Amino acid sequence: MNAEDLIEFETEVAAAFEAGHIDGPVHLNSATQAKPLIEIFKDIKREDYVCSTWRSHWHALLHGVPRDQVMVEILAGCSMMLHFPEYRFMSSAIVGGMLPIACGLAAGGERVWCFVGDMCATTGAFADACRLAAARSLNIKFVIEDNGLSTNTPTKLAWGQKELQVANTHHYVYTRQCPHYQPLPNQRGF
Amino acid sequence: MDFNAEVNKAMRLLAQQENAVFIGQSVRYDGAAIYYSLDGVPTEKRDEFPVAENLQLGYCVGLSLTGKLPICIYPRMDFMLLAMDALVNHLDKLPMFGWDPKIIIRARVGQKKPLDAGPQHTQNYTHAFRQMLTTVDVFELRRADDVLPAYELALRNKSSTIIVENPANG
Repeated sequence: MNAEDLIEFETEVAAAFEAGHIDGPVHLNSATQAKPLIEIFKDIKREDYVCSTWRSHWHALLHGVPRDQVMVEILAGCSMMLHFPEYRFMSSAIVGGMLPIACGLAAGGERVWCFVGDMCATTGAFADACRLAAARSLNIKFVIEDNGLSTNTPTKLAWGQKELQVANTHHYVYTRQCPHYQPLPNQRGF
Repeated sequence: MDFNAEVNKAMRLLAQQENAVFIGQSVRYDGAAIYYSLDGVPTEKRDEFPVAENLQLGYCVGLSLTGKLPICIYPRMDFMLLAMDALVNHLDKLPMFGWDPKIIIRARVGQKKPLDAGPQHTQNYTHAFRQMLTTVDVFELRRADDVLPAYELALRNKSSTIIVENPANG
């Protein structure tokens, strides 16, 4: 898939959400993610495991999960928890939830790519996972997707930090394009 | 029949499984009850893990998806509270998403005699765990003759099992 395909997919999801066809929260990718993600996924093989987050539409598509299959799951309200075992693709709606599992997969001999957000990269769970991965020479790559926000909390401001630097990781910065989760007018007040 | 001797028999039984790996603290290093309970388990099947309870349980989940049978050991049930995300949000929920992790979690309820280790080392959360879990079975063992059958059942179980060792006679 190229950048245009990815953006078109997300536009379709947004339209379905706005039309009230998706009965669950949706986390859309931003156009600024397309280029860095396409580059990263050039190194990810089909037989690799991809452990993703609640913003995982493009990760799944770029890992080879068919477009229709991803769309069906999103329309079923599973945007935050896309799982495709046959494609070795899993995700979690919990911050850092994939980190220990990714380490275990790698310890079992698999090649693993684990995506996290910038706030996750500041957590103890992330530090533990990186330490274990290094100590045991696990075949795992961590990718930090940095939009400067955790939901709506500014990561660096909340931690009082100026920079977010983590050694031995992929790290790319993008700008969030859509609200974290914008309820439709008839859903407000929950 | 001695409770601890039965636990050791159960550990030896699990160790006969080619894919079994015992993960936790004091599994390779002498000085704690867990170590003695693994007497006879080959060293190469023991993975001494850092004290990182949630990482340990999640690691076992990932390992199980590669075909291993992790036996995830906590010397006190109190310590499992630090692994609740991996247990409740992930191990318990992954079967709902098409994955089939299978691990055996072994936890011990700290006894109050001859020494009372206090309220942070002696709690039994079996009931609370049962309330929270939907795909993971929870067995509480009180009698020695229940030990081996429970571990045999856990071995046959398609899903994951928590076995809480809480001997009635301390």
